[in-house]
Amino acid sequence: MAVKVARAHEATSEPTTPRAPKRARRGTGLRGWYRGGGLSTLLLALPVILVFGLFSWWPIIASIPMSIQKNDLVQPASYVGWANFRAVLSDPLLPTAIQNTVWFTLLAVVIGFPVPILLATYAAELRRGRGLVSALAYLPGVIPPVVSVLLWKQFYDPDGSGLFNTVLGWFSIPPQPFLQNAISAMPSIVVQATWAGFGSTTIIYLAALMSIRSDLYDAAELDGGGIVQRAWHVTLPQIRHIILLMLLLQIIGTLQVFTEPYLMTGGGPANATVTVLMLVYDYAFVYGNYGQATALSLLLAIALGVVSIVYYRVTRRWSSS
Amino acid sequence: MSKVAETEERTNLSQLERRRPAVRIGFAVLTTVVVAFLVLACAGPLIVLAKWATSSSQDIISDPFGWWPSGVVWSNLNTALFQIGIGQNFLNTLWVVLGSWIIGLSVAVTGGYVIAILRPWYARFLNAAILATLFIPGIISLVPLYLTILHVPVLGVNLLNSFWAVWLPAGAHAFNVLLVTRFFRSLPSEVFEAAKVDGAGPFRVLFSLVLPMSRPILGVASLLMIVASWKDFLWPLLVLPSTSVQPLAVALPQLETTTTMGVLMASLFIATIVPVLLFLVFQRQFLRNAGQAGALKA
Amino acid sequence: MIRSRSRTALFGTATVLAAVNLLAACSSSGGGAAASATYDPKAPVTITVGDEPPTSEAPQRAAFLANVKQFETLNPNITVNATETQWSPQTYQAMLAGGTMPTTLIVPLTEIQSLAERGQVLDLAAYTKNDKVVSAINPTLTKQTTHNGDLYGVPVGAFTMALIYDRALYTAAGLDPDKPPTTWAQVEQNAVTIHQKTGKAGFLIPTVNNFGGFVLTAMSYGNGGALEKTSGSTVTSTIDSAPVQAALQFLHDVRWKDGAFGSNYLLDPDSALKEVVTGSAGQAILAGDRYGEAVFNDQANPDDVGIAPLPQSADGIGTLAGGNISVVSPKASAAQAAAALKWIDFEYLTMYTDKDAAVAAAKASKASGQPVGAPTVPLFDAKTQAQYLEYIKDYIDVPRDHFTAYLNSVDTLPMVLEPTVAAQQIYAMLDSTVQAVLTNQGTDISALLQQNQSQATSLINAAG
Repeated sequence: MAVKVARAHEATSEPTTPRAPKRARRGTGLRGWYRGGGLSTLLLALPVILVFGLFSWWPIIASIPMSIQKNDLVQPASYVGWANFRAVLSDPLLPTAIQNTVWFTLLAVVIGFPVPILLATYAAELRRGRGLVSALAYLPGVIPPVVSVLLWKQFYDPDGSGLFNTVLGWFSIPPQPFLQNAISAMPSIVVQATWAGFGSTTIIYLAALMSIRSDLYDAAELDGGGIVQRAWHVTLPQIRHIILLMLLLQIIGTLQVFTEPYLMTGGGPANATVTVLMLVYDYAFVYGNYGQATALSLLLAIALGVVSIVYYRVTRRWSSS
Repeated sequence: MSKVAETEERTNLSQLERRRPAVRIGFAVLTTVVVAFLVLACAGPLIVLAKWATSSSQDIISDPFGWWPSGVVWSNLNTALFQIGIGQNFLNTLWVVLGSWIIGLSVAVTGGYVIAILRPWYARFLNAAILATLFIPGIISLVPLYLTILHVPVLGVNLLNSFWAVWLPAGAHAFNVLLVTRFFRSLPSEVFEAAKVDGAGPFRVLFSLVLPMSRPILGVASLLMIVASWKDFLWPLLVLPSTSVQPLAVALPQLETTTTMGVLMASLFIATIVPVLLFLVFQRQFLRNAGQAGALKA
Repeated sequence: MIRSRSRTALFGTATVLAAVNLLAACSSSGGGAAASATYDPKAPVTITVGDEPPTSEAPQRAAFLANVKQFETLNPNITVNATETQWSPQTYQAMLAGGTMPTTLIVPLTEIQSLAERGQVLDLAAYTKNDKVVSAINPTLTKQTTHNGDLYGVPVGAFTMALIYDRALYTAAGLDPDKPPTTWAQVEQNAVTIHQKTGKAGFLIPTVNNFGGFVLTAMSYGNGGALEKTSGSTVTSTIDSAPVQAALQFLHDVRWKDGAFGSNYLLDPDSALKEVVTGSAGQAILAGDRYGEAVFNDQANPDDVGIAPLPQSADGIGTLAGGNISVVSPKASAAQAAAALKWIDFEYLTMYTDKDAAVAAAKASKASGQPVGAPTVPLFDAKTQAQYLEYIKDYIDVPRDHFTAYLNSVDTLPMVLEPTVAAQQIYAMLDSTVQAVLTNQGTDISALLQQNQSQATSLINAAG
């Protein structure tokens, strides 16, 4: 085999070879298909077709009829028209959940978005410590989320002897309620989520930054730009594409947040941290109302689609300016 | 500009600037602050966890920074591992991750191979169908997927409490398939054409040619799959309700109310030590792959 | 609603009034309401039973399995497969749908009505019609497991909400541990004293996982009113009423005026119990049957655990009762259902009615370190209870004289059952009400209750 490969390498000079009309050569019909490797190809395609078919395409398609059914898994499912959607939209918790979810996303963007960019911009300038900085930043992301949530929950102990409150005490700041107060609960959760996630984002930005062409910086310097001006006019625009992409991914991701509020506060205090996905979970797995849960998921998915489209349009305008 | 351009690689700060004392001192100060902060913020919690894992519950609650006022409690770790079954949960996690990785990789490699290299007539539809799922938020299929697990169409089995309930859906991640597909597309197709002319079947080409050439992308994809599988919480919570098959992520929150604080911290520590050690040993690979994954996302 | 720590409660704190005439073989009826076919009582049948203690509870597990063997010996045609499966809201439906539900399982009292409504448990009327043991169970309890006139579950354990307090803290604060408070004003006073003298929290309640609402319901009963009113077939919400208001005001005062409430307002019931029995807090409103859990799981000092009847205001209507109900899978065949009921009788009921079974259970509890003779609500009548205590009197190691008030109240204090419609959702809603009152000093309780009442009304209408 090795010799034949070498021959192929020698022969080639054009970039891409157009596909040879191999099928015509092998003959048509079932025989031809088989001899052309069709069966093997099908066998190779089987894993992806089966797995996606059963566990990806089928559930997505099935969600539509499910959202208009009443289904509790024991009795046969019955069609109820728009009842599920009406129930979902009239649930008094829904506006609260939407508000909380949007608030979480907003906080996550404000608190969590600039940190990786700034850190990466700084780290790109490091000659020697870049590995250390990268490793440290990435470390919180390696810890399983459940562990980090439960650990931070203990850090947030509202007693004066809780870890964070002890630290605050060193600066003569009174103990804070953190998770025990409706106003401070959500920001507390966001801080923990940011801590866990900023590392991987930083690495991604760092990789992008390292690939910025040097002559751009040279040109900017020659044009009289100082360090900060160069950062603003060269660095940021060069990674704008990836920044916008990461921002969209973060927004879409945080709008579906579940694990952190579920484990930290269970939605409290007084529903201050209930998110939309937690509502879906409650409908399905606490109240056994699978049809309603699917209806809400559909609505959320549509909302996310709208967000993506609007985002795309808006950033298109920025990119072209 | 003349052809004599500087070929020196640089980022924002130029060589010259670095020599200026103002820049040098400023940068040094910034570095000290940043590194100190990172050590405190990122490594600090882990060190605290290690300390708490061997502290008595009273100490954790009333004197979190204290130097083991009540003495070191090694029994926390023992209790966690053997008496309350964290050891079993750990094994379950390993199983779940291993299976998800194998299934995920198999699906991505075979799928990418078919779409990018073999390219039968249905390849285009396959690709589009997989791409489409990327744009559909996962939330939409949570409940229907759960019902599918309870009663798999065609096969009619109930996968609840079986690791297959986690492994199989792990293979249905479009991003991994597309990642591999994109990479395969970039491979020189003449090599495969030539092999085909020489009579090699699709399987032969896959195993003897494609896979050896794909080491980098397999590394990236594997890393993504393993990390995602280790962290997974909601899905295993739903489909692995029996405590004997639960991975760590699902079992740990239940310990909060049923064990003492010291044993809980010991359990958390046990759950963390493996990924952290792996990371410290394979840092470079981790970071390189993480950076690449991001670049490919764009 | 509270499902006591399953086997711990049943095995360890199994001091229940009992003993009625025990029939060795119970159900004998043929084709019943739900089961269409008659069955042959002698034909071989296999049943799966849930709630087997896990390996981490070795002595209980051994006792359970020994009982299984004995049952099979007494009933040679019945084969019993034991599983560790327990009821949980997330998995029950899935188990049923997937066909993995055991023939019989224990569910909390709260759930039985909605389960019966959804057809997720078997109608037992036909099988228990002639069962003397089941018929002798306290009618207040069986009433709750009856839906549309038919019995859907067999009560195998019951509890009432009580005031749990730490006797050691009481002594340290200069209070008499043998004189627990009987009114809410006294509770508040004691809470203040404990907090001032010992620095520990004087009072707390759980506030998450629907327990906030559950405890609030109990406190409302203690203040003179229920959450729902039933007249004929109409159910109306009475959340916006003086008793509920009084209960919330009590929480507000202890928290903000006295500063004597604990510091965790997202507290689950297990942690709440732990705090009280280990001396971090003085008093709490919790289920009264958790003595065994306190001593065994939380390692509390047996002498320090105090259980008192739910405090009552002048208009108090009683206390909230809950329990464990044994149900049968709706997919069980007639023969299986009959066999399951025999098992239920044997495993959970004979220990109160039959001397040998009682002694054996007491011995097993002792061997596993579980207390014998802890206070609970009797399943059967007073005579049976007295007889049962007589059977096991050599094994009792619980200082029952610490609980005289509670034990007496079991007969005198009315046991009020949970709201009949949409209880779980109402509890969930009230969870956040309780949390709001405890975390926000400026909460307008009246406005909040008005809101809650209208929400509850829609929940009730939706469920109807």
